[in-house]
Amino acid sequence: MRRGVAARRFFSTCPRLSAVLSERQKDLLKLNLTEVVEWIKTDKTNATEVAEATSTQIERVNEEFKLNAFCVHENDQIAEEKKKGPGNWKEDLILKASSLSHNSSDSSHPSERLYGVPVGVKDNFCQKGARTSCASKMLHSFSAPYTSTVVDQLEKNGALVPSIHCNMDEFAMGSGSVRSVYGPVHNPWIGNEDNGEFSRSAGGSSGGSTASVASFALYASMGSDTGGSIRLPASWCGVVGLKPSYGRVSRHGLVAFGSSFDCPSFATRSVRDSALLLDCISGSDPLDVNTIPEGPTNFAKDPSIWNITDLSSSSSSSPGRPLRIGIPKEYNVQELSKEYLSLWESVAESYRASGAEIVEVSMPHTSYALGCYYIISGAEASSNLSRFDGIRYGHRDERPLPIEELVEVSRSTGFGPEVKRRILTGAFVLSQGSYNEYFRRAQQVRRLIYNDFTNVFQNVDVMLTPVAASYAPTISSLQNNKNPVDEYVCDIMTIPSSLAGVPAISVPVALSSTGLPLGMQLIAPYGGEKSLLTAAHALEEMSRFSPFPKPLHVL
Amino acid sequence: RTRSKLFSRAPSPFEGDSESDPPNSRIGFCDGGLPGALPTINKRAMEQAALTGVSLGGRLNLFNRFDRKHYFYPDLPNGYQITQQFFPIVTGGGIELLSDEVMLSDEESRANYLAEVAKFRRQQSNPDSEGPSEKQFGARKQKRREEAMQRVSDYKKRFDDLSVIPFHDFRASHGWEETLTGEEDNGGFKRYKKTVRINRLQLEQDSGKSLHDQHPSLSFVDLNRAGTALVEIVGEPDLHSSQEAVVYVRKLQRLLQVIGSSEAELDRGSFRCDVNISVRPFIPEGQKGPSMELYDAQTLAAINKPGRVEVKNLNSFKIVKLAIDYEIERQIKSLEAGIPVSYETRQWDGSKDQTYKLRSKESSVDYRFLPDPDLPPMVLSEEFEKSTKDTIASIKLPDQIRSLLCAPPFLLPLEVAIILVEEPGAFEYFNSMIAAFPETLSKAPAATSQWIVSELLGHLRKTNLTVSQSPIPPAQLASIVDAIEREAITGKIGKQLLQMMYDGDKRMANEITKELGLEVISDEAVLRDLCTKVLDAHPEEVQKFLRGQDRVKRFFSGEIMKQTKGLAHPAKTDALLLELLALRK
Repeated sequence: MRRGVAARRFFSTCPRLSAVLSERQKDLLKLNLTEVVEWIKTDKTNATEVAEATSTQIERVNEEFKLNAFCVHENDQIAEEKKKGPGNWKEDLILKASSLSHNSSDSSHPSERLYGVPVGVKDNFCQKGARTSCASKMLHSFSAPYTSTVVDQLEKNGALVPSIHCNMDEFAMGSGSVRSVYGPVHNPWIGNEDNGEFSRSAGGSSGGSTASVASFALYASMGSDTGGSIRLPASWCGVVGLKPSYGRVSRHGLVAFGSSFDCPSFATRSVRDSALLLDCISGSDPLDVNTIPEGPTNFAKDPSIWNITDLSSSSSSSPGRPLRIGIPKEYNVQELSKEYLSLWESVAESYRASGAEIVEVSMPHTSYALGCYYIISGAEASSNLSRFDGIRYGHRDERPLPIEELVEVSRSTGFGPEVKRRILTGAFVLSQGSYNEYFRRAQQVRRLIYNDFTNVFQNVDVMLTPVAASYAPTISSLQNNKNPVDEYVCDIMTIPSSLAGVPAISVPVALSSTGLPLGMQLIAPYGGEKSLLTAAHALEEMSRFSPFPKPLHVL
Repeated sequence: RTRSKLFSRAPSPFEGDSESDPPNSRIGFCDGGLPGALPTINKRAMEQAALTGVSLGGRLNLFNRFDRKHYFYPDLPNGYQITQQFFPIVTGGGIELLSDEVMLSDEESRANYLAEVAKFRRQQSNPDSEGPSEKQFGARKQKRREEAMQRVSDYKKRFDDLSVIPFHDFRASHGWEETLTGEEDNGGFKRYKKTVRINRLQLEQDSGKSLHDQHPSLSFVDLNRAGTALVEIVGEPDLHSSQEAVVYVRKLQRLLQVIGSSEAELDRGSFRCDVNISVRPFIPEGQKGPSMELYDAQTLAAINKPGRVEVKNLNSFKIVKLAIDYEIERQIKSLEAGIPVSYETRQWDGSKDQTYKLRSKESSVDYRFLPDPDLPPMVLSEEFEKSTKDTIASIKLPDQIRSLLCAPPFLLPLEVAIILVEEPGAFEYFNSMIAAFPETLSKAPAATSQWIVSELLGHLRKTNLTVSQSPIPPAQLASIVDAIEREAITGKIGKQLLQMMYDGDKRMANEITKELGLEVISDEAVLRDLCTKVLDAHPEEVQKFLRGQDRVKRFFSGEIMKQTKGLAHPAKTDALLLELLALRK
């Protein structure tokens, strides 16, 4: 029991001499979610062994590689040892795993689909007993008294959710995971030009979730996607990032940013892994009235998704016809790199070779999406974040101040600059003088963008687009960005589908000339996860791009 | 009144024994403004709000949306209140006031009014006689009336230096119109009615409570109430006096209680009043603006600057009235001193009987309304609408009960019907009484109602109980009325019985009278004997009578009552006395 603490103390004083993984552990960690579930089920390993390997790798990622993929504050270790509280994630995890391992030996074999596998969550999911800080000073010491539906469903399916959460942009506002009270998340990939250093951004805002999956620390992690927050970092970290339809997964217990956009989302190592997770946690939830009134999905075991090699008869809308893939011409933006554009073309070509039909489509209102998104999400954010006043919980100025001043000072010092920028933008667009001009108009534009999708999906099953303009930029370039809009541009490919609430997935496809991952995005109609997964799995399996390489230098 | 809160499953503070709940023990995650918590709509709250609105004659809106209204306050956990700013569940509707209700609503006018009605009735039933003289009211009534008149004049004196008419008058300019409601027994009595329109009825969340008196330097917040479903009923500016306001609020309260959407208890906070008050100049008939003769230039200048005062959280009818009267007086004084009334929120200070300024509304707060993205617009079904209307149709609303009581077979006087409707449980009590002794009481609804209105209520008011809390069950009171109607006891004995029952005697009237020998003496032979003895004992008085002093007859009947301890049958005794006296002529 003392091992975790002792090890941590040891690592924190001499990080260079950290733990070494055995070959067996490396092999275990290289598995994907579906595989490790199978291994545990068939007794090729057990929950304790997996938990030990995982927690060792989490520590290496934290302390040896210093990726900041997890929420560990510099002072945390000391504080944790003093408190012996929820901070002892490692002890907790191994304890939970070993209790599972013991149980499984004497009882009937577990039927839970995620039995014994650690699955991480982003730091904006509430989990009783764990700290949920949204990577903000505002909630730095906040521990929710309840558990989110997502974590609850994971645990019900046998997963072990570590109480150490994945790092992110503060309140999920950002595209680079550089705005966190725990420091920026480093991408485990090292480009040719990076001098062997982890200098690339993991993408954001769910950078910790994707980096934890890419760096072998976790088999899968939950993130959230408001305007591309899982798809972009998934592309930059070379993992699969699935954003389901809005309302497919309950938001109960996910700290709200843009309530009408927020989707609990998945970072995994394969498309099938994300389907497995989706099956486990989707379904209507009485605690979130916006959930789709349907039961959980059942995709992971649907042979019509996974056994397809020929797409010439996989249309979801007209059976027997080829899968029709739309290429929206408006996504060919000026910012898109040459390299990405040609990758886009060759992926489309490969699809055609697999029997799919490629159709050029038009989404005429795409150029309004960015402005529309920042108005509505800002408005919702300013509203959602107004509960953080320091009165009941969270950061609060120590001085005895009059109430207005107390709230003002606590909020000014508790929120970072990007969060404040969005709160102010949102408050502005909702104010009496500008509501009609901005918020109302943005809502109308949102409807037009939604109509774009509806129209296009009359003719195609899915759409194929890049995920961003390019591969992961360096953290310093993002930090030195003077104009926030430059960063907002990162989300240009992912925002329209967020506005429409339709499902989308980012699948890693190739490495750029600099050796950094590039993903392709597939978008399906609302509720059309099945065709999305079918097309994504086909892409994953295309021999030209498979198997996708892994950043083995962090093992 | 809902078991759980509007947007969470936490129990409402008005449910069950909530007084003893420790602070902050009834909080859902959403009510407490916890990160990640989402609202879920309470269907029961929607139903109750719809019922309330429809019973007020409003239009049920099938399309409902919830908006967030933003402001920072320690007892507002989310930093916004979820309300129905743009798409309320009900729009329109109103409450009809009768002048009789207004007159009955307060002590000052009540006695006056009842006397007027009584006078009017006597004239109606006996058109030849001159109006009844003051003497006929009886000494006690006379005294009560004088006291009331004194209070009225004291009250008026407070306003003597003001150019207003504080006492009620039912002017057309105040929205009153003369009416025959068709339910009164007295076709010619002047009666007025007016409708106070309702603008809208919206569902919203309650806030928590800030407690500033628990600690010398700290304030505390109790969120038990936060998130409770609240129905806000916004009236149009149709009220022209504190009395009208009180009647409006009372009638609204009764309605809520009758349809069961709220306990509507002012002192427990399940019914709260915010009153907006502004005064306007007196504009004489036929003129377009206030006259220069009544107001000087500086007053007119002040009047021309618009202003309005909102007095928040008035928690009793008495305070509603006091606060309005105080504000009217304050605002008029202010205007007459040339100081315009500003837009501000004030609070009632019960220790000083005055209002004080809480905050100014001059710089309007921008609430930055946002359609709540957590709650999709709620479209009510047509079945919902139908079932709401069916429910209302199946409930007897207070005004309907009143009409019922004034119509055959009851034919109660309007003022009695008003009181029966106004008193919680009185109508049910009345029905139970009749049901207990249908043979006698159904023929005497007026007497039955009088026993509730004048006798039972008198006892109950002393102990601050309502009719529904009466320690005397309806059947027991009915047994008294039954005995009287059967002429088994006199009214006086009836009152004694009531006192005994009130003091804990659980027996029916006939059981008590049997045991105590309190039954009326109606045996003619016994009475004749008694009368003869009394006449024999007082030859002088007999002579007086025979000389034409009719009043002496009362002396004889008094003597007989004295001897029989009030048990002699009054009518029979009177008849016998006359008969015997005539024999002695």
